[in-house]
Amino acid sequence: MGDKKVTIEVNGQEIETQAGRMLIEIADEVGIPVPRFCYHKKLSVAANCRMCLVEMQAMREGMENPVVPACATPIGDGMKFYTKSPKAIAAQKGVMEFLLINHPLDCPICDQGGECELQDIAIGYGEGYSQYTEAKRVVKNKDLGPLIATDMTRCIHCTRCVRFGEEIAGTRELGMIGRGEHTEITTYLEHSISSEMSANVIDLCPVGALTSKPFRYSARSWELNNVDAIAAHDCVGSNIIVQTLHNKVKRVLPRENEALNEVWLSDRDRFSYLSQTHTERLETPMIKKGGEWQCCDWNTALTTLVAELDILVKDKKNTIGALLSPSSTLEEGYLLQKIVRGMGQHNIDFRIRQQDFSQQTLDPLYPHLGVNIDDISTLDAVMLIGSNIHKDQPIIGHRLRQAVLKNDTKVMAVSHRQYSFHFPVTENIIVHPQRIALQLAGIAKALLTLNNASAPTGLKEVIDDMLITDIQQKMAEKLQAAKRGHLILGNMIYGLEDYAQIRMLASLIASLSECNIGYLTEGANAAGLAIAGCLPHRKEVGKENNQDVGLHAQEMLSKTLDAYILLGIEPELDTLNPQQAINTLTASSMVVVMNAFVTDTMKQYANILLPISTPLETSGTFVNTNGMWQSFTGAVSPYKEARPAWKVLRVLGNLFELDDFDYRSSEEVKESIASKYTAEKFDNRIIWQEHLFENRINNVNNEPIRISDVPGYAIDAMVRRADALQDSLDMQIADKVLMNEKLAQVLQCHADNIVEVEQLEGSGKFIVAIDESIPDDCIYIPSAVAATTNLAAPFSTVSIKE
Amino acid sequence: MGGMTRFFKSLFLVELLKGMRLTGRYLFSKKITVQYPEEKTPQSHRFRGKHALRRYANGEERCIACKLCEAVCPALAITIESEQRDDGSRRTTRYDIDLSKCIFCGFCEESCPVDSIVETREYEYHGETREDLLMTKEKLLAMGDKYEEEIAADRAKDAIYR
Amino acid sequence: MRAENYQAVTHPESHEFELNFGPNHPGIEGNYALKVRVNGDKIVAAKADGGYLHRGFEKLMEGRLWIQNIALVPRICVPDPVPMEMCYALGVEDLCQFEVPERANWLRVLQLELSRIAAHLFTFGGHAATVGMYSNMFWGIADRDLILDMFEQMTGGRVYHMYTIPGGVRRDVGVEQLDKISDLLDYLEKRLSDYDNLFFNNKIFIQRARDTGILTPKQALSWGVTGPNLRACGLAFDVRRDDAYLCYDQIDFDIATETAGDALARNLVRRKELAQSIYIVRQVIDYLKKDKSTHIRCQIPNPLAWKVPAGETYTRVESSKGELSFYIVSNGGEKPYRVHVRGPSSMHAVQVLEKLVTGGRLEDVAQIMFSLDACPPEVDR
Repeated sequence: MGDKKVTIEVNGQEIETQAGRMLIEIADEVGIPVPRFCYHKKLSVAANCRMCLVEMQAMREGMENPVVPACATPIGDGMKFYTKSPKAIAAQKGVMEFLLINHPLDCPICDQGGECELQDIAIGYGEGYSQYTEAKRVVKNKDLGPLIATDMTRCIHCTRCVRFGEEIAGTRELGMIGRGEHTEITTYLEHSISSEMSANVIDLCPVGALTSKPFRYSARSWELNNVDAIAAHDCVGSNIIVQTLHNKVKRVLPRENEALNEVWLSDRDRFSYLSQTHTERLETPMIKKGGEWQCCDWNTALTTLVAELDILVKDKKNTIGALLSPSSTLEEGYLLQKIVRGMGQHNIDFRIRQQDFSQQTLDPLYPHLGVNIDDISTLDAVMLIGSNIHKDQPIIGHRLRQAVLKNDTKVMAVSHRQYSFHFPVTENIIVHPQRIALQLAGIAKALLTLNNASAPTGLKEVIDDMLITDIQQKMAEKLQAAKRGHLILGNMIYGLEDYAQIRMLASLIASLSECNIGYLTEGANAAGLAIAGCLPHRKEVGKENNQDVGLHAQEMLSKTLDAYILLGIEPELDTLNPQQAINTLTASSMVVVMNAFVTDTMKQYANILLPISTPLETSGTFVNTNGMWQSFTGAVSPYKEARPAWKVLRVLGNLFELDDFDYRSSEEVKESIASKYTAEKFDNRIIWQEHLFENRINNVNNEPIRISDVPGYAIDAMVRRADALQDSLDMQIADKVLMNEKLAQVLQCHADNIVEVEQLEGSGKFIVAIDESIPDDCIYIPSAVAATTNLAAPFSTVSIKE
Repeated sequence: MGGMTRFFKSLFLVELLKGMRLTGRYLFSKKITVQYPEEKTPQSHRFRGKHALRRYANGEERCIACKLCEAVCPALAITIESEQRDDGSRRTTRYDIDLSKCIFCGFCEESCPVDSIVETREYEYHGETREDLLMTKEKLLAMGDKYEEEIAADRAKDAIYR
Repeated sequence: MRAENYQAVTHPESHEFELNFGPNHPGIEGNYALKVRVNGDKIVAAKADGGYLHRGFEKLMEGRLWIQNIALVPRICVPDPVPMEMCYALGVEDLCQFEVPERANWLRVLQLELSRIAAHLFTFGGHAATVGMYSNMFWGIADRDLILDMFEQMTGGRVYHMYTIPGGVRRDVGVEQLDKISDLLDYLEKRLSDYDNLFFNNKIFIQRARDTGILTPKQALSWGVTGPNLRACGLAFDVRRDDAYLCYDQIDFDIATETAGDALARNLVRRKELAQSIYIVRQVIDYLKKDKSTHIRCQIPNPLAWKVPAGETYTRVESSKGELSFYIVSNGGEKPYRVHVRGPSSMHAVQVLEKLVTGGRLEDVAQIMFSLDACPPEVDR
């Protein structure tokens, strides 16, 4: 390779480029069409479909011109190619004829029809008749789970899906077995695919062998309207195309963006649209009158709401709180905080799964990853703290995997559960969650020793008599050695009660090893909501609010306020402590729920239900974890009587007679924030706070405690209602309690037995599963699933009964 | 024409007689008037009339919801919705042709890969309401059942030109 | 009304009236209006008023696929739809560089000439009606129906055939069918003498039509008159010969002309063209019977994803009413970027008609309009 410049000639056109690149790349660049099936710019070269054969000028006089595959021919100086010569065309037509021998002629019922590469190329290179008269091949369909439908007879063995599994998803679940006519693409073992990005094979498959199961037979590609949008389920903000028909979302496809999702899309972002027409969608505004729910129109609902809240607002002693989903748009967040602050309150928060707020003033302006997503592959060492990165943030997980493969990045993990990463983890610390801080302190001590530095005040006492383990030492060395090291605080960390200490220690480690530190957040717009001012201690664009700090999420949910406004959340699932949340809300006299969905639990505590649109139905802006502002428009009009939340909030602002609520579009709302906001670079590392460690690091008793995380397909209301995702392998733990063999023996639990787990006054029934990825003294029960709505916060003690 | 000839021609009403002769000839010639609706003129087997959806001999509907007819329809008169039927096959749940939009170009028939949607010879239809002119899947299948023999014969007759 | 209640309307000094001739009038071919100012029954001024049949075809075509427009174009002119399809197809073929099979071209000529016969029968049938000769109108329309029968048998459609598509034609025509057409031509030829007796040599008609609506060659040229109307002024211009398309260069035919330039001359040109068209169709039938090829269409791309190469083209054909042209612009997309239709009737029915009726008499308005063969749907597309 190298930067050597060479000149080649394609169809008489001279092209100057670097040596060693493949011909097909250059042809694509200059726009010379070369037919292909197996070649894909993001996958390795396989050269097994032979469709891209082109004629090459012979190197020596007298030799016949060879026909070479364009995808596997590195160019050299002076090479001449002909892509449309009679010889090239004859070769391509020959290949096409072979491909069509076994390909069924079922285009009319094939979902790929109209967007099929084979169909397109067959029009150019195929003959109208077939010379083949023998029997055609039939291949049994494989069951690849609830997302991918298979018609394996259509397969042309390009192996893109196999290479995707190996190179991108990292799961190696699909493979090719058999030879010749008996070749088949199959899962090695009969099971469905578990990769969180598995559905990308649907896009990759050049024929209709792998298609989308939920989409199956419901529309044709050519009749769909494409709307550009932003995915709403992780902090990457993947670019998507929403395809609609008759005002219904039919399909979601990735939109290429090299800086973010490249050409990929996580299954979660791809299939969450299935919840659009879920039976639990809230259709009209509803008011509870005398214990009875009544449907009403918007006018009645809003005037009732304003009348009731106005009475409360007049008495300054009353407290009103607002909680919103971290996937609310920037505009929604901005307007909601404006209403709350307009009422003279500051109780607004989107950090509904956080437990420890003691150091919230040290939070950066917004939670930032600290490194651009497309720069992840340049990192040398990464330490993941409490992150199941593949399931929580599939695209970032994929980027990290590419870094490991291409850049030999060392990845280390500190967590309360051993996650199966799709890349090798050099050092892996799996501990009881209350010991995570201690482990980090150990790493910090190792680094201090390496740097010959003395421990900062407060920490000395903690680490003095601590022994540095081997793993800690190695981790410290790797971080120290890394030119570009990075620490990532994962989604799970926020739920720990010593979050502040952990963050402080991580920051110390970062400072000592000259690494950077970054946050992964829940929801699509945690960064945007922080900028919009949806925090009790900060107004919009990070203006400190020191005199009058409001209540944070935990306080709002632990002591009953006089009124609540809930935007887009289901507290029984979305908060850390569902038991407490439901009790608190039920005790409150006024709970306004703005949500796209409604459940029976919601009806118990709510007083007014306002239907709002999902992110696919509203315009808005998401700010991703790199601080990238991405605006989108609604792909379909809102479901029944639902309305975009920003419009509802705007009208509410008018009805409360607040100033500056005359926005006509979501762009105007965005503009009013953007005009105040100046993007600045900031460091996520925080200044050492000595008082944090006055109480030492917490003590651990040996009672089994419940550990938890949010499964990838339970993160928000939309995803939880996407049926196909709920049927996937990942959600099989939804009703399970996991523990290791050792603890199971102590508690006398047996696999597959149903046990009752009690936590404070609530309980739930779960099936026992033995899992050695769980550390000692820990019982894993997932959060945000239906079975846990009666339980209290994780990371506390539970008792188990047969 | 001389003045004399003209004089005699008009005197003996030659022109009138000529006209009467023509009238007389047609008075006694074979009548071509057709007593519609009792009698009908012969119709071509290529005639493009009201639509029908056909079935296979075993009663299974032919349509596979490929939506090519919907896509090609110049008047956007066809609306199809499809889904996977319980047996796994691709089927329509809705197949509407709005006859008030249809222009009877026959593209739907030409685009159909399974000879399902066809245009029959039926041309005597009317509607008193808009719904009457909206052909639903049931109506179309009923049309197909009613005229299946004629449809099949017409298609067979024209097979060499298709 | 009782006499005492009758109030005399005071007439204006000039005794001039404004009269709306149309948009619904038996003497007008379709929805078209002529606002005439009459003094007695003498026309002082006339103002043509199209727009009662505006459907926005040119704009509609920009929103439809190339293949879908085939079904749209024939509707521009109801009595003579085939040249519309033909001209559009020629334009698209020109842009796509299609090689159309020879047989398809001959089939297209068959269509075009049958359509011309049908249109002419319709027109002079109508003309006869405007001078009070109704049996002629019945005959013309009844005989036209026989041609429509042929169309039905060939294409499946009686009025709108949508038979010609870019790249060829939709369905081949068998030998029996050609025989039927041949029989029809024999019949029509016999009928021509009846028509002569009844109409073209009819004293009343000749006296009414002669020297009515005279168009001089100079006027004709400056007003953009084409087709039979131009040839009736003695100018032998015919797109079929002067810018031959399809296989007209292989066909023997004469260009019918007259010199008088009046309504009579225009009808006589049509009468002669009937004979010429029958002569052409006979040649076509001979060719098609001899030709054993079944190739009637070149390979066209997937019609639903048909991207016509970027470019612009201007194609013209000789319709029964005059020169018809399509100006088609493609930007390489799936739909036309712009289509402009230059129909013959917009000249004939607006600028020419206004001038020809002025100074004439009211009873001649309908006659002049029919003699010009102006087709309202084509005036305002």
